[in-house]
Amino acid sequence: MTSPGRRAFLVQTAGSLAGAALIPDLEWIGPRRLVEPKTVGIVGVGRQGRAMIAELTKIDGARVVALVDPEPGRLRIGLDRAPGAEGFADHRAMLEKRRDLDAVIIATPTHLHRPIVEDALAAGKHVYCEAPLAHTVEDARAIATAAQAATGRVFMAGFLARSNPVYQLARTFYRTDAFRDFLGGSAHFHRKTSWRFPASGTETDATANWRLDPAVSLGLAGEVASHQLEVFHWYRNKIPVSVSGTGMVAANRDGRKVPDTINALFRFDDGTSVVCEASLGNSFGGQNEILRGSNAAFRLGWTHGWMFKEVDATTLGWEVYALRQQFHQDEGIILIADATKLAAQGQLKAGVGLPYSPLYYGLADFLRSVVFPSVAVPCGAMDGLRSTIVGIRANQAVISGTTLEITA
Amino acid sequence: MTAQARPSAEIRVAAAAMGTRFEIVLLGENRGYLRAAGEAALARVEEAHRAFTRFDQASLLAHLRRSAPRPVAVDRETLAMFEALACVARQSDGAFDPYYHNPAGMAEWPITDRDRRTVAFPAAACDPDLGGCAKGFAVDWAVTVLREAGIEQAFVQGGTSSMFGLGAPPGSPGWRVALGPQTDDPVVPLRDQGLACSASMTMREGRRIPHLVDRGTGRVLMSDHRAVVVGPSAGLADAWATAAAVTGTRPTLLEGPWRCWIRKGARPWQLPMMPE
Repeated sequence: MTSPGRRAFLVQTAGSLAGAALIPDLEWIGPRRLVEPKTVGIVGVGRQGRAMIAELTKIDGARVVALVDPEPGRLRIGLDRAPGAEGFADHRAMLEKRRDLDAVIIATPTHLHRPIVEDALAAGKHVYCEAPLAHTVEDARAIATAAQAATGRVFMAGFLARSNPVYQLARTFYRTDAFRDFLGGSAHFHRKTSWRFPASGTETDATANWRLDPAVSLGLAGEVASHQLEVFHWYRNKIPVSVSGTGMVAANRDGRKVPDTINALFRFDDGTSVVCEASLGNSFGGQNEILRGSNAAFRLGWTHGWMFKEVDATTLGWEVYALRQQFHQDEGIILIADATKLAAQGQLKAGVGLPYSPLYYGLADFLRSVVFPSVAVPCGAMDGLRSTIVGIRANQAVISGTTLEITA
Repeated sequence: MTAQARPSAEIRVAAAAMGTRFEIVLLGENRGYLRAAGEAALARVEEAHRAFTRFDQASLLAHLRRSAPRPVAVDRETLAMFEALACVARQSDGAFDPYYHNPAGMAEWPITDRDRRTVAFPAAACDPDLGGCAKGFAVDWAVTVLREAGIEQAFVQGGTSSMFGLGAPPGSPGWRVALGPQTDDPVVPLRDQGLACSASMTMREGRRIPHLVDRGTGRVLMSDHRAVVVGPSAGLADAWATAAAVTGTRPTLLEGPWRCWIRKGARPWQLPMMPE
């Protein structure tokens, strides 16, 4: 991950990284600052688009100058949150008028991504596209092809684990004897919600609730689990070869067809597997991924992470300093990104959790590559395509209740 | 699609945020739509929690502290909240004051810039405890989401101390809120109004213990005051209720649509129209 470009991009606001090596060196997790300002237009200002506005305002040098949304009420709410930004009802109008834009960030419903990506790249813009990339393999391939053909333009898929310092830290352990052999894993997503949104202004209920439309929705498997499975793809440098799934409408019996409770089993070519369960009927456990190795297990929860060591695993030198947390009969070592520096300052406890959201780090990584195009984004077009295809196939397996092969 | 005036459905949704429980009751016709609107309003509450919690490094509050004294761009609602809090702090002569005071006793309030829509903390030590008043503003913002969704009848409450009645239930002048458990405690109907209560004492393990600090003296308040404020905003009501609980008197600047109830110890409630 470390590169001269990235180092140049970052302006570290604290002192050196001196101190005993408590954990493998990680990059500074503090505020990101662009060495030259970049202008950004956001297409789609629903909940995710608004979250992006909030995170971009925290990145010095990032300027949100244009917002696009066909629904006037939603656009107004977005403009309330982006001082000085100009509003548009259509992304083509924005691209035509705001030729000064450096980058376009796409946060529309999944099935609307393709033409926006293609138009933005054709207009010479750098593009960040929310993940999954598309609702069909055909569209996802078209997006990846357009991104690869767009020489000199940065394209990033919004699978955020690769930008997340906690996940980066866990991965450094994953690749060592501290974790050793991967035995299997699981991904959990539990939230009590209808997954329904009130239609806004001129919008129809069907438009607002595209997630519940089987014709365009990838369901929980594609929209949620694909982000979690991407962690396994990244750590293992491979994708599953098959997926079996089941699903049902268990909690929200309001006539919907898209399952609100699913199970999926992903098998890898080495015989290992990852189980994914997601439900919208009960919130216990929240969202996390568990990776089991022969020497340790990880529990990763987006802003927090823990390592649970086997008693026969070699003791690591820094463990004596580590912060721990009890989970019933298990004791987890809290994974603290940038712990070396914090330990040197005697502020290790302050490092529990991230100082910024995972979305912040993802957007900052994208803009770093906009400033320095030679620095690769953490999740490019091909990685995004592979994980999108896994999500699409998983949704098909859940809907059909069958086992499907996965080929990227 | 909007909720109808004569509702046939009632939906109740809840979420844990800001160290307490937020709850919304919605009346209307379409259960699915009501639930979706309620969940969207709760999502706004959770967003406010993530922004203003003191216990999460990734909060906007933490970002403002880290960025001090540089200005930080914020949304219109957040800017309005910081402006309103400073206004109440000044108008209440510091009886309500969530901000850090430097050793000279001078409050270090955030600097707001309406044109640039920014907030700047004067120093990283400016560590406001937005506590109850952020809860009130979260209730207000949830109500905004409900209104935008076309909901006409709903009741939103956070921690049972900050609330807002949107419209009114059928056949009632408003959402009825009792100011205490006794039968002679006043009952306040809320219609398009917020209500907040504050007390100088709080119950913990069956004992009443001091809860508020008088910024003027820097001492913990030992007097037993309870205050309830009703007005157009639950957030502002929260701030004014704290000021009234600190002083034990009705804020003189509360006029127009604002009303205030005060109770001292075991004495009866002083109603809004009663002399001090």
